This record gives sequence, C-alpha cells and structure tokens, in this order.
Amino acid sequence: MIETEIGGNEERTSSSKGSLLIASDLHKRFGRSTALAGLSVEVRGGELVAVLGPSGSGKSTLLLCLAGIIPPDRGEVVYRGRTLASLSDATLTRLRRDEFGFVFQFGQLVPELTAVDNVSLPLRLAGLRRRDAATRAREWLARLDVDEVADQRAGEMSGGQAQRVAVARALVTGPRVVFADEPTGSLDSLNGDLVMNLMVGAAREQGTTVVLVTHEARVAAYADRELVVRDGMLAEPSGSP
Amino acid sequence: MTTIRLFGLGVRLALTGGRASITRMVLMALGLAVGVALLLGAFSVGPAVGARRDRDVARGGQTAPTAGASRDVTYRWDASTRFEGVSIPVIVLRGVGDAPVPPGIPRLPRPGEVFVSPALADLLASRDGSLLAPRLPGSVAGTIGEDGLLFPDELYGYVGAPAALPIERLGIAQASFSAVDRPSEDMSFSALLVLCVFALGLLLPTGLFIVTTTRLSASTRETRFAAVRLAGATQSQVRLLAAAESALAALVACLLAWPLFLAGRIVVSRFTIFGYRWFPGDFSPPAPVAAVLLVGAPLFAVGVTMLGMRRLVVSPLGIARRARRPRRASLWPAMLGVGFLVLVAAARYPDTVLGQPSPIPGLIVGGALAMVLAGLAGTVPWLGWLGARALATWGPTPSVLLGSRRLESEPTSAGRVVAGITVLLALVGMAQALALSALASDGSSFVPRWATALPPSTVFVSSNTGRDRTEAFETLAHVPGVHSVMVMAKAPTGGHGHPGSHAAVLTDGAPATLERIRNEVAWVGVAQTLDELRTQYGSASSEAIRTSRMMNFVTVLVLLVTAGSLLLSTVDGMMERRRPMAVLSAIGVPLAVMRRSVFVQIALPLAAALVLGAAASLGVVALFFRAVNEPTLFPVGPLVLTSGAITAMVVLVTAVALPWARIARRPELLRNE
Repeated sequence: MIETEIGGNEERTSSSKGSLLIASDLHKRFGRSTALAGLSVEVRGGELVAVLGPSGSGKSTLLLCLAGIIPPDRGEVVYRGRTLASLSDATLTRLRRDEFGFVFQFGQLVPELTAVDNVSLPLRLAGLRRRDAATRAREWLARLDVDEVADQRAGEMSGGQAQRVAVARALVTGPRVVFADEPTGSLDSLNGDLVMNLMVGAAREQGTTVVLVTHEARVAAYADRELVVRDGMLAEPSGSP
Repeated sequence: MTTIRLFGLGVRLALTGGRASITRMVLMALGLAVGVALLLGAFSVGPAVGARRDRDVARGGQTAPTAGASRDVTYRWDASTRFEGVSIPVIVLRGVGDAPVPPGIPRLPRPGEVFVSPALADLLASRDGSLLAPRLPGSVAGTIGEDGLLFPDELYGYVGAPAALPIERLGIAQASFSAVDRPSEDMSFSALLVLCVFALGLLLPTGLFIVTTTRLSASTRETRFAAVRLAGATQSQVRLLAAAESALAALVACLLAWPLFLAGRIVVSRFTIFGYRWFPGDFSPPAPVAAVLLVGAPLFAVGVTMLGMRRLVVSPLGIARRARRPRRASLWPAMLGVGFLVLVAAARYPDTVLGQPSPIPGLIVGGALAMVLAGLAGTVPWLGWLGARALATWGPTPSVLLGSRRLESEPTSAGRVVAGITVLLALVGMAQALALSALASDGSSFVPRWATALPPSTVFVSSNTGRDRTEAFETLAHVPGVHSVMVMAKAPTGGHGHPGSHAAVLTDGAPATLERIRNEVAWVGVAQTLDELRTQYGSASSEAIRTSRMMNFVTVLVLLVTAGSLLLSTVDGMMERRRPMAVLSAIGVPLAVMRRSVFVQIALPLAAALVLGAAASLGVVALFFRAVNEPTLFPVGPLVLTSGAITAMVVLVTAVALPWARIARRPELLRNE
C-alpha cells in the first residue's frame, strides 16, 4: 500500500479490528430531490459490505460520500479517525489515490489509455517509475486474467475485460478500501461472477475492505453484510459482521 | 416519415433538448456568424480598394484636351500643403462656362470661398487653426460630402481662385470629374504573392474556425442520436436529424452575420488599415458573393456535420466511431511537396513560368501557394499525431501520458486549430520577407547626401511649378525663427531644377516656424523637412510599410480567430469528457495533472505548427528571392515575434480555458441514480 499522512504506518491488522469508516447522519440533496436523509453507517476494516436498494434510493450517493468524492450537506464521514470534510482537496486526492480504489459501472477506464496505462496510472501518480509501475500493472492484469489486452485501449476490450482491468486498477495500489458502484451492472451473469470472484478473492487476500453498491441479490451474496437503503435512509439495521 | 417531417423533428429535438442543446446551438450559431461575417469582410476588401480608387480618380478629374479645347472647363491649381506633419490637399478652382464640379460639393467655390472636409473644418476652428488659415483664404461655404473624400477624417479643401489670379497660373483644365475604368495592370510577382498571401491568410483560418464550431459538443449530440435509433430511426434518418440541427444553427448564424458584418465595418472605419482609413460603406461585398456566402454557410455546416458523421456508427445501444488514425502515407505531405516543387520550378526558371500570358502565372503561383498552405494545414495534425505517439510510448509523467494518449487518439480537434497557426506563420514570413525586400531599397536613397548633411532643423522649399521663385523664397528670411535662406537650383530630392526653384531654409526647428514658412510660400511652393522628404519619396519604403501593416492586420485578425477556435475546442473538449475526467478525479488524479495534460494536448501540436510553419515560410522566402534574383533576406525577427505572439495567445487562451477543468471533473457525474 502507498502510505499517506493518515496513519500510513499503521498495521492493517490493527485497523481492521475497529471501524474504518463511520458515516453519521448524512444528508444530501441534488436540487429538489433528496438523495440521503440522515443515513448513518459504520464499516469495519477488512469486511465486505453490500449496499442494496432500488434505483434512486441514494446508494451511489452514499458511496461517493463515504469515499470523500462528494461532501454531504450535513453530517460527517470519519475515516480512520479523521473527518473527511476537514481535509484539503489535495489531501483528499492523495487519500483516494493511495488508500481507496474505485470500480464503476460505466466509463471507469480512461478511454484513450491502454490497459497497462490505466492500471499503472495511480502508481505513477504516487511517484513510481514508469517501468516499475508498468511491471506491477502487468502482474495485476495477469492475476485478473486480462494480460492479453494489456496494450489495448478501453474501446478495444469487451465489457468483462474492461471491468477486470478496472478492478486491477482499483487494487494495484493495495488500497485499504475499494468502493465499487454496480461493478457488474453492465455485464452478463457469467462475466459478472468472474469479476466478483476475482475482485473479492483479491480483496480478501490483501485484507482490503470493500463497499459494494448493487441491486443484484446474487452480487450481494458475496458480501459479509448487507445494508438496504431506501429513500436516503437505511431500511433495516445493519447486521453484525 | 417524410424528409421534411424528419427535418422538422430534428429542429424540434434541437430546440427542446434542454439547456445544453440550446447552448450548443447558440455557440455554433455565434461561431458561424463570426466566420461568415469575417468572410464577408474578406470579400469586401477588393470592392473597398476599388471604391476608394474610384473616388480618388473622380476627384482627380479628366484633363481637357488642349487642341480644340472645350469652353466648359474647371481650372485647378494644386496648392497642397502640410500641417503638423500631415498632408493636406488644397485645390484652387475656377470654372469657365458650364464648369464641371468635383464630387462632394454642390458647386464650385467662388473667389473668397472655401469648401473643406469636416475634419479640416474642425482643424481650422481649433486653436492651431489660425496657423493654417492663411493657406485657405476665404470663408467656409460648406463641407465636402463623403463622395468627395477618401476616408472619414481626411483633411481636404477646395479654394475659390481669387479673381486677381491670372488664368495662366491656374495649371490644369479639367473637362469632367467622374470615375473611369482604368485598364488592369499586369501584377508583379511580389504583388501576386501579397494578394495570394492575404486572401489565403484570411480565408483558411476562418474556414477552420467554421469547421470547429460545427463540431462543437459532437459526442454529446451523437450520444443523443443513439436514443433516437433505439426509438426506431434508421442510420440515414439520424444523419438527417443531425443535419437539421446544424442547418438551424447556420440559419440563425446567417441572420446574425449580416448585422455583425455591418457593425464590424463601423468599427473598422475607426482604425487605420493597410495604412489607410476607410468609410464603412467602402466594405461592401459583391451581391453574388454575399448571396453565395449567406446561402452557402448553412449548406457548408450541414456538409461538415454529415462528413463528421460518416465514420460514426449509430446503433440503438450506443455509438461507435470507426477507427481513424492519420495514415502513414498521408496525402497532405505529398501535396506540400508538390506545391514546393512548383515554386522551385518558378524560382529556377522564372522566365519560362512567370513569362506566360496572364492569368497563367497567377494561377501557377497562387495554385502552388494554395497547395503549400493546404499541405501545411493537413500535415501538422499528422505530425502532431506522430509526436504524440512517440511521447505516449515514452510517457515521462502522468500528465504527459494523459495528454499525449488523448492527442494520439483524437488528433483532429487540436489539429484544426494549429493548422490555422501554421498557415498564419508561413504567411507572416512570406509577407514580411516582401516587406524586407522593399525596405532594402529604402527611400532615404532618394534624398541626396548634401541634403542629409544639413542640420535636421532645415526646411526644404521647392517651387510647385518648377519656376524661379527667388523673390518669394528670399522673403522667408524675415519669418520669425528663420536663421538663413539659401536659394538654389539643386533639388532636395536629387537632380537640378531652374535656378531659384529650390531653397534650403535654416530654422530654429520649432514647429510653428515651419508652419509660418508654409504660410509664406502657400500656393507658390512646398515646404518640407528632411524626414517628410524621406517618407514622401521613399515609395518603396511606404509600400513595404503598407505590406507589413497589412500583414500585421491579418495576423491580429487570424490570431483572434484562432484564439476563439482554440478556446471553443479546448473548453468543448473538456466538457465533452466530463465523465472520464470525473473518474480521473475519483481515482486521485490531482487537478494540476489534468490541467497539465490539457496543456500538453495544446502545446505538442503547437510546437509542430510553429516549426513547420516557420520552415515552410523560410523555404518559400528563399525561393521568392531566387525568383526575383535578389539576395535572400530571411524574416527571422517577424517570425520570432509572431511565434512569440502565438505562444502568448495559446498560453492566455489555455489559462482562460483551464478553470473549466475544475467544472468538468465534478464528481456528481459519477452517480448512476
């Protein structure tokens, strides 16, 4: 993992014992529509949490708030003891680069970059030399069984291949948390299962926490715990890990 | 669905497509309107020069034949003068019989009357006017109208000849004042080159600007068409819908273009262009050309849209673009090479190529230049693509990697803009070389050494008829501020005249002294300083300065057009890529890296444009000097200056565009719900 100023030297085992992410009373509105209406949630280190709910329930907004990508209107998100809202834009950017990984449903890869370029980009931003970053990226592509498209651009890959490349990019820096927003939403069940198996397998192997937004029960079944969001609030209490 | 109904649907879709759709339409319409207005302006330059020349010819009049002279003539005597460094044509008139009247005045001035231009009237009424008034004796009977003036602020005056002035002193008898067709003169190689340079310099970047505006927000628009396909439209119906949107924008543009052009020529009339001032009405494009432009613009916009969609596969599930990379064996470098070869042939065998009857040399030189410039415009994106590919493989930093990969995958948007820059730089070099060539024969050589050796405060007075004016010149010794007067036969412009037809007057150098001398010799002689002599007789220098000014004007105009294109395409490019930029932001790519990547996307093709433009310019210049058999003068200074101005413009435009990067990467775009 690439260390940041947020407790970079902390042992992963110790962090996984307590709550890694705590969101309290999150409110968020977009124009007249309410996305989050006082939602609170805790995510522990190393667990795999699935966020379920119908379309427009606020799942993606919750994920983006937890990742510090969009700030809540009210409430706070605390990551490893620090409130995300108190961090500068530069610190948040470094945090997302070094400690978080992201997998989205669409448009997750930079279209004009090759698979190797896409996967090595976070490493290069973290200061790794081009050759070292490319080597590590190729290792991850091989691990996710997409090394044959290493030098192809996003538009030249199938949906399943592109999604696996996105998973490789999310995991290549050894992040503490991976945020996945409908990672199998654009895939058929076969490719969806393949991506989930690879992502969950790699995350478990690294002890990475995964927050997964989905509306598919089949995908949610990979998780340790399920949260159901409805109208911007948790519909039922979260189960214990 | 019929074509018309489909067209109507396209228009309705464009108008009801929300704020983004309307904004895109407005931008496209504005861009096209500016482009069409500029083209109208470009095609008005010829008529403007013609209109001005016609007025000049008309007020010069036609001389009455000496044999069997008509009794209905107007005698004119040129009593032109200078005041505070500005030339003031003053014409003394007397009519005989049914005398012709110069344009701009209702009748000939009677003795003791003057007609003056509005600007001259203001000058006479000003505090300094009293120093000038003795040269325009009489009361102001009226002002000269626009048809009797060359430009709005011209200082010009008609004076009624005093009754005491004998008719034999009133030099030329005019039979009429009207414009006549002058036979067209064969153009020199230099003039031909200047004309081609000017026309191509203005038209090419404007054309590129129009293409840029029609491609605005192309991918957003294309994504919308996928939804239309899903609703059951065929591929060709989708093309028609796209064409309807472009045509609507172009129609609005044409409605805006004419008022924009009219407003533009009012602005232009307030500035000096090509060393001259103009009336707004001088800039009137020929009616057929204006009609073609106003009708052609929508057709052009539709054509560009259809052409842009030819590689687009719009399916109900989305859009895909058939891969298009600049070919290795591109046609553009070949065109560039052929153009150069023709110019080499013209330079090596000037008698054979340029000695052909008109208009063959014009077609050869103009055609070759057009090929060179079009070749340059097409080669630059290709070179930029090659450079981007090499840089992407090397990829020293994330920003360079992002920028160069983007450029490699989509070289045309930036390419269109820098193509204009390449052409501009090439043209600047060529035009400035012509100016340098003319300046090499500087006007100072017309002024003899004995004159330049006298103190700078010396005023040279010459008889305006070439007759002996010793008596009149010797009275100048009594003018306050005059130290001494030397009456001579030597002309300050070289050669000798009648004894007593010239004088060198040593003065205290005060401007008032000069004007007092002019008052004293008004209607008898012309008084000028050494600097004024140099300017007046240095016609080559004047021409050079005019060419140089003309190119400066074109440069500024093209830079503005290019800056507009660059700003539009940069901002549009960022807004079109909002989702990838939001993803980059989410995965931790700092804003600074994104900004630098945008800069790389501009800087790389710009560097290619500057190098290629300068090289082509120097190549054509070398060939030109070889063709005219003169020592080669490379316009290094103007090229460096223009390159600097272009770079500054690009940096400025990029700086203005970069704040959009922050907007474009807004994370809200990542929400799926």
